[in-house]
Amino acid sequence: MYEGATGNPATAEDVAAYANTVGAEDFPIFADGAGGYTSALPISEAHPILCATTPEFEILSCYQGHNKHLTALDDIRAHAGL
Amino acid sequence: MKTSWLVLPLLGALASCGGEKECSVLSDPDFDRVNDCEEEANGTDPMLADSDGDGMSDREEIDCVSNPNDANEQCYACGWEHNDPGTLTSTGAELGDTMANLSLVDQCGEVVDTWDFHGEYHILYMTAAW
Repeated sequence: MYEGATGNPATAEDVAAYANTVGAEDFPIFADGAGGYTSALPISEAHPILCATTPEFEILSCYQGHNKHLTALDDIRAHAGL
Repeated sequence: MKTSWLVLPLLGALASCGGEKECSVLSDPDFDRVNDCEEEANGTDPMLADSDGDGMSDREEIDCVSNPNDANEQCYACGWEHNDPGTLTSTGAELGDTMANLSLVDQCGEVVDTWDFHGEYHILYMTAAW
């Protein structure tokens, strides 16, 4: 998460509240107010945006826009040979 | 008959841990619920309940997949496993690169290393709370 509910850089409190809202107990939500992922991945700040990675953290693909996780899942299936 | 019943399980509890010395799954002199064979397999001190002195017992760290010999590594509050193999090297930020190991705060308020999620495919989703 790059911004909290008020548009401020996301903090630990923001991600805790968000995780509670969406019921995230088995996957992590990170506060990334400093834009760490933007510098570590081939993405811009045009959110929402996502990237798929292999188990070795090789960057497979990145997409901008809603519902693009379905395309990313296809990429993962193809990489895994499923 | 009674003697045999007692002796056989004890013999079965002795195991070779790969060296010349035999260990016993019944022996736990430091009372950390990690028997001597597990201590040897994990490289921990069978005489210390907290081998690395980080405040978490060897049993706790083994159960949560944390290194019981590394005082700088402890169980994550949210329960994530420490799966960084220690062999990854970041190669850049483009498609096909191995991404950097980001350390960010999670929903439990703790700094977590991205590479600790090694071993599974991931979709990293960047969004805002609004």
